[in-house]
Amino acid sequence: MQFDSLTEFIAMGSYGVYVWTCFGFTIGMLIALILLSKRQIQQTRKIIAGALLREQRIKQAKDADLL
Amino acid sequence: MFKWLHPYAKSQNAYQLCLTLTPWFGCFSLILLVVGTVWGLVFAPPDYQQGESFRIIYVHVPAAIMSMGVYAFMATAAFVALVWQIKMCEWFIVAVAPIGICYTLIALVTGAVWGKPMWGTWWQWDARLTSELILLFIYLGIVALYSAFEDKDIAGKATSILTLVGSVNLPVIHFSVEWWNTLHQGATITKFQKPSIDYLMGWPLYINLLGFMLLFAYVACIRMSTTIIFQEQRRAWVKHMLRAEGEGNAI
Repeated sequence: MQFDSLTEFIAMGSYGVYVWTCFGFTIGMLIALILLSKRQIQQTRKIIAGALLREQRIKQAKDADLL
Repeated sequence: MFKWLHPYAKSQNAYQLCLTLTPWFGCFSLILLVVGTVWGLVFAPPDYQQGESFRIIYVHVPAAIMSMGVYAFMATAAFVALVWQIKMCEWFIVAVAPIGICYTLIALVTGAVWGKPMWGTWWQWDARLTSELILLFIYLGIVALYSAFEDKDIAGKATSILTLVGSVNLPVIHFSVEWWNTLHQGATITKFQKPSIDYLMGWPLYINLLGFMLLFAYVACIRMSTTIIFQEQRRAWVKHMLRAEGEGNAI
């Protein structure tokens, strides 16, 4: 343990603002990256499902016209 | 020698591999990052010159090294894509570029915030900082170029070529502190001699570096699996898989 108290730890020898800004920004960016990547899975599946449905509708319309 | 790799040229096998590896990479990267960060913030001794502010090194350096590492990986994929005409390598470049952008931004911002108290300035147009900023622009250019083309075959080829051309920036970034008179300090660990960092400070740095690498692998697996099913959406295996999952959800 390099720090004697929580106050000292947060102060980081008067550099606290800089150190915690850096770590906060890093953690924020990494969490955003992970969440956005996971959300993209759901969006992609929706797009594919939509494209499949559209294809089916077109196919059905073509069959109906032929009939 | 690379025969074991051949089955993964088939997109379905590559997709299954990504799914299998994702939780492992996620778990181990989280463990490593927590251990490295706590060790670096709480247990590593303060620097004799910079005091406690040096602890920013534990996010700045791994992010910066990985910003180049991710690009090197992309450049290798670009080379393979162009020489052996492997589409999945082209998809890999575009899937993974955002991770590189994230790491480069972290390196630039944490570097600037560290520079303010230590150097007295947020920014300086010195060789290391400028070439890292150029790396960011190249990453953004790669993403923009791929989305500019309607035909994704041409998009993939153009993106591979741009990635290869941009890789000339990597040795510039690395050797900038040797070739020019820079504000940024010289190499501490990425050199052919014994690291000049104290081992008590160095160990959490190496652990965080490995953590950032595994985090890249984790996010790359997620993004690559998404890209594969999107690019292969017309294939039977994708349709069967999505239909089976859809039925599973309905029940």
